Amino acid sequence: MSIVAELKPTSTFSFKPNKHSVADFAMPTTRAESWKYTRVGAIDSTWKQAERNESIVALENGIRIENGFIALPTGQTEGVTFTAGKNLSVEQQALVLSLLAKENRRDVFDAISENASNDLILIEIQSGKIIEEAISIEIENMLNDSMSAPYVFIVSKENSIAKFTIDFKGKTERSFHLVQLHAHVEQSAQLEIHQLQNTSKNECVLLRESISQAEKSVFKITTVTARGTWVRNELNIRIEGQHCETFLSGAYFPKHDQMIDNHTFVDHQVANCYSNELYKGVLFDNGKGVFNGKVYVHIDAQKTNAYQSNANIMMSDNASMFTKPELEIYADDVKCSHGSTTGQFNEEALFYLRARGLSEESAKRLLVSAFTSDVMNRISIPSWKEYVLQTLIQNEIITE
Amino acid sequence: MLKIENLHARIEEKEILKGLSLTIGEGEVHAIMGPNGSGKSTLASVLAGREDYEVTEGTVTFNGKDLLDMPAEERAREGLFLAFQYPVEIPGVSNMNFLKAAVGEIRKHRGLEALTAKEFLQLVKEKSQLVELDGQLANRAVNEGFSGGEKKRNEIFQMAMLNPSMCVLDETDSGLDIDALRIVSEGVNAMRDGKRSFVIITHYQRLLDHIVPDFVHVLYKGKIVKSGTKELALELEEKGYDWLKEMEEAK
Repeated sequence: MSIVAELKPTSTFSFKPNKHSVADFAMPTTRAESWKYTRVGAIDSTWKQAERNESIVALENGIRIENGFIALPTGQTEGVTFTAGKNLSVEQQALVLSLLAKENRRDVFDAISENASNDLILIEIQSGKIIEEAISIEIENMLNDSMSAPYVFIVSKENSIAKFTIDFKGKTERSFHLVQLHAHVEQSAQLEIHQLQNTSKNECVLLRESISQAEKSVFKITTVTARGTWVRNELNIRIEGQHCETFLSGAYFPKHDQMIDNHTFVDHQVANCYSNELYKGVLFDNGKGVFNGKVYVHIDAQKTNAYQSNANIMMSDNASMFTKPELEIYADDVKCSHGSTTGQFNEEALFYLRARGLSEESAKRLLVSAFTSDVMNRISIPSWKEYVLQTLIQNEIITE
Repeated sequence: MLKIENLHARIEEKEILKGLSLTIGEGEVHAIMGPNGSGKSTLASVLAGREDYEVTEGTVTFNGKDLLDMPAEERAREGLFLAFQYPVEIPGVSNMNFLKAAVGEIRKHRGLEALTAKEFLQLVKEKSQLVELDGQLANRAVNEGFSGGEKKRNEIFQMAMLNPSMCVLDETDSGLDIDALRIVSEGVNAMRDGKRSFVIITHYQRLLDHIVPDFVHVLYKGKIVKSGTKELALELEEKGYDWLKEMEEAK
């Protein structure tokens, strides 16, 4: 175990919910089912931790997380409260701990988060409030060979509607983002999270997201990974109340030697809920992709309607994709379907476009954007969708 | 304009074209007829640059250049257009974006300035009227959910947009009802300007009632076995292809 040379306690809020020490756990190996295709080698390293920098330039309407330290927005947003870790009230501390307690996973990375976390923020959307503008969260490491481990907590109170954008930017030669996001969507509330990962060449990301939904709530998330040498997104969604809707989608484009892993878990605990999952990948060069989509339908979760799809296109003979749908269904009156395809380009479509004068390269990019358009169409914020598409154009993945 | 000499082509191990020669001058309309399996669609595919076919012998020159040496996209930019027998559905790619890209590439190749958005839309409006294509279709994904007739009209619409000098129509009449046949033919006829040349590949004579060719050729077992004027098409319609086969076998 060499991860993190020196673990510093959280400077802002005494925060060790599980009292675990990193030394209690071993690094997962490929013998563990959930790490079978993803070697932790790239992140099993000695990382530095940045010092708190008081001069982080805060954003007016968004949250900036720099080297794991969180700067609250300078402006006010009606209906939203942002609370830094050190300012949490006793009730808020209890709330944060109750969200964390929903995640029963205990492993080395949770222990590292707990011990190394620099900072924490709680964002509460007030009851009945409709937040028109998306709330942005910008995540960036500025220090080479460093690790950042922020916690973000979001609570969407009853009948509220809010959208977030999360932008993982890349600045360093090499660093590690270990980001935890825990959210709860209360009764009849709607929460959307749209995220883009475009970290630099040797930045690694382990994103752990845990969402819980109370009855009649709606949760939607899109995750587009445009670049990242080692990216693993773990998304766990617990559906705790009836009549919920859940949409989870992602698109990933590993190039060169990049590895992008999406592990999702939709936990249908109660009856009468709908979930819809759509992940698509285009794999270039020696790129590697992993998709593991678990759907668990509890014995009481009758009338569950769960749909899952994962489709991939291989752009190179050297790329590899490991995909595994995992459905565990214990209720007997449900509608669950899943599909997984991995294949080559439609050669006929490629020829058709070339026969109209498009170069092979631009025809391919046009087809890549067509292939992933259904995921992109789930991005409900037009300006963010445009930003995501522009990033993909810059990375020479799609064409204008 | 287009000169095909002693063309031999095969797909996998099967030789399909076995010494085909044909010369098409500026502004001429040539119809190529023949029974199923005679090599009609192979000729269209080889001319357009489909890579599944291997040319084993012969030459094709297009405006003095070696056509067979060019990748498919360069042939299109040089002014060759193939209207597909089975236009491909491409979900997610909008007709407009695709055409904008294609028109842009072709204009660039020909040293023309890029069209402004307004000019492009004006061109779309003008050319879509040519084949009575609903403006809505232009905004949809390429051929997705189009009827057989709409797909073929879309081919002719694209042809008009790209303004080629040599048009190859591969069984454009297949799957068309009478009205669609009339619309497609009128679109093609409107593009006959005495300079643009056409190769019309068809199994039946009925398309040639609408698009009257200057020359008719009969393709059989990978070669042109008979050439004539439009009267030849009528003769074929009347007699079928069997007499040709017998004549060829008697030789």
